[in-house]
Order: sequence, then structure tokens, then C-alpha cells
Amino acid sequence: MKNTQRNYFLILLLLILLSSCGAAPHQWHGSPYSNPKEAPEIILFDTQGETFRLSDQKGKVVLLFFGYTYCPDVCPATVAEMRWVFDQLGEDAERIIFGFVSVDPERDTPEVLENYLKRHNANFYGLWGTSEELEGIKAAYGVYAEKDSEDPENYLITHTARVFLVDAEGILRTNYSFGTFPEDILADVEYVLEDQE
Amino acid sequence: MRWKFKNAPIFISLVVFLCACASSPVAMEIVDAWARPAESGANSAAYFEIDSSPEGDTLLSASSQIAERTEIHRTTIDSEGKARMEQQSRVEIPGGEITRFAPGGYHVMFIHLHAALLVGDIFSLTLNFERAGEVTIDVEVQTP
Repeated sequence: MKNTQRNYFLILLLLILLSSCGAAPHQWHGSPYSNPKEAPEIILFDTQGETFRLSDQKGKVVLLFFGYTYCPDVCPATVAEMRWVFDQLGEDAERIIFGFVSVDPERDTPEVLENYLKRHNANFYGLWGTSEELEGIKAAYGVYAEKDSEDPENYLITHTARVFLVDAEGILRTNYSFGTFPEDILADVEYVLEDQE
Repeated sequence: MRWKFKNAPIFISLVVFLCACASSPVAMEIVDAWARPAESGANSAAYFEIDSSPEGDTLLSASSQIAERTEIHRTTIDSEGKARMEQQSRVEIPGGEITRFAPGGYHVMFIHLHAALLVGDIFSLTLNFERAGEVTIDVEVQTP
């Protein structure tokens, strides 16, 4: 009887040890989607005039941001954080894409976008489309963007300042509000890159 | 000896007066000023920290030679993650505290730059305070 009790105890201990060895589920940062789905399609032009289709990027992790180059604060701060994330990844940075979707197509010509982004990372994609083309994309991602003035040249845009993470299978996983630590974004990117291997 | 005692109060008053004149009031300090690089014709922003004087102050305006307009702005992020920038007509600088002009908050905005701001460039920025008057600082263009 004594031996039986000891064996039960040992089996229980073994089960506890085995369960603790199992990998804990990844804790996503930002605002993860509870029921992740395929990311809404994006068909826009890059700064070279080539068509950019989000669905063509499967196999790579995609970070997306909706901003404008005349924005002097939140947008360049976000782009600088993306550059930091890319820098930390070293060679793995070739497996991710950062797409900056302009919500200001009147002023952000492809040339303006190109000059703005190349200062940070030559591989960042500036994505451009007409206001009409952008409407559907913004709605699909829940992105708000409105000018604060009727003046055609001097206006600011109040806009959603979130970074969206699409994994290598094209699934929209999570999004990050402004102020999220870049280390947290990096942790998620590293996770999806590892998951892909 | 009698002369010395008689004049002692005058002497002490003089010393106290001179000491008061020699010790200047604690002035505000503006440190760690930097600005983002940007193309000619684009916009940029400057950030810094104000270590205020004990009595505090109010920032009323900013001016520079590098852009068509130089304005004080504040970014706020609402609960839905929308970023909104609004021009500020005055910014209270509480006494004895450090007020930070930082990304995602208060900043000085340069609208329509006359020339590109390149990393390493240094330019002058004048901040106009209610009490301290005009304070001109050097701002270095840096990659954040």
C-alpha cells in the first residue's frame, strides 16, 4: 500500500513536469485578433510604379502603417521604430516587409514617398493609390483618416496610428497602437518568423 | 574699536546686499534639443526638455528661420488609436518640474522647410516665454 501511494506520487510529479515542459502559447502584444483571418487585400502602387498586392507577399511577414509624409511627429516616429525592428533582425529582415500606405495621395506623390522612406530603409515600401482606391482598404482595416482643413495645401490629417502585423501565411494577427514598445513588436515578429521555419 | 561696532549693522547689510546681488535666480534650462531630418518643403519637428525655474513659466510661441511657419503643437492619441495634432497657443511649464517635448506629445513643428534638414545640421530655435522672454537654443538634427 505504501509502495502504491509512492508510485502515484511519482506519476503525478512526472505529469506535472511533462506539462510544464510544453511550450506556452505565444502572448501576442498590441491588440491581437481573437479570430484571426486572412488580411484584407491591398492593391496599390509602390514608389517605382509597380503594382503591390498584399496577397503576393505570402512567405514574408508584413508590417503595415497608414500615415502621410507631412506628418512631423507620429509617422516619422513609427517609421523610425520600424527601422529599429529591422535593424535588430539582421539577415532575417529580408523576410519581412514594411509597407507605408499614404493616406494623403494628393501631396504624397510616389517621388515624395520614395525620398521620405529611403532615409530610413531602402527596402521600405511606400504604397500609393487614389483616394477612391484607398477608401475600401481603410474601411477593411478600420483605419480613420480625415483632413483637419479645407485648405488644399496646409492641412494636417487626423489618422489611425496603428501598425498591423500580417504573418507569412497572410493572416492578420494583431495591431499596435502608437506608443507600443518596439521591443514588443520585435518579439511578435520573431515569433512569426520562427513559426514559419 | 567703537567705530567698528557702530558700523557693524551697515557692514552686515552691505554684505547681505552684495551676496543677494551675486547669486542670480535659478534660471530655466532647456536641454537635449533635437529635430527630425526632413526634405526641403516638407515638415519636421523639434523636441527638448524644459527644466523650469521654481516659479514656472508659460511658453507662448516659437520662431525659427528654417521654415515658412514655426508652431507649437501637441499630438494626442485617443482610445481608438487615432492621432490628432493641434496647435497650442500656450503651454504651461510648471515650476520645479521637467516638461518634456517628445514624440507623441508636445513638439515644435516646422511647416514647409526652406531647405532639407540633414543629420548633423544645427539650427537656432527661439522660444518665447511669458516670464523669461525669448530664449534661443541650438537644435541638432538627429536620426531618432
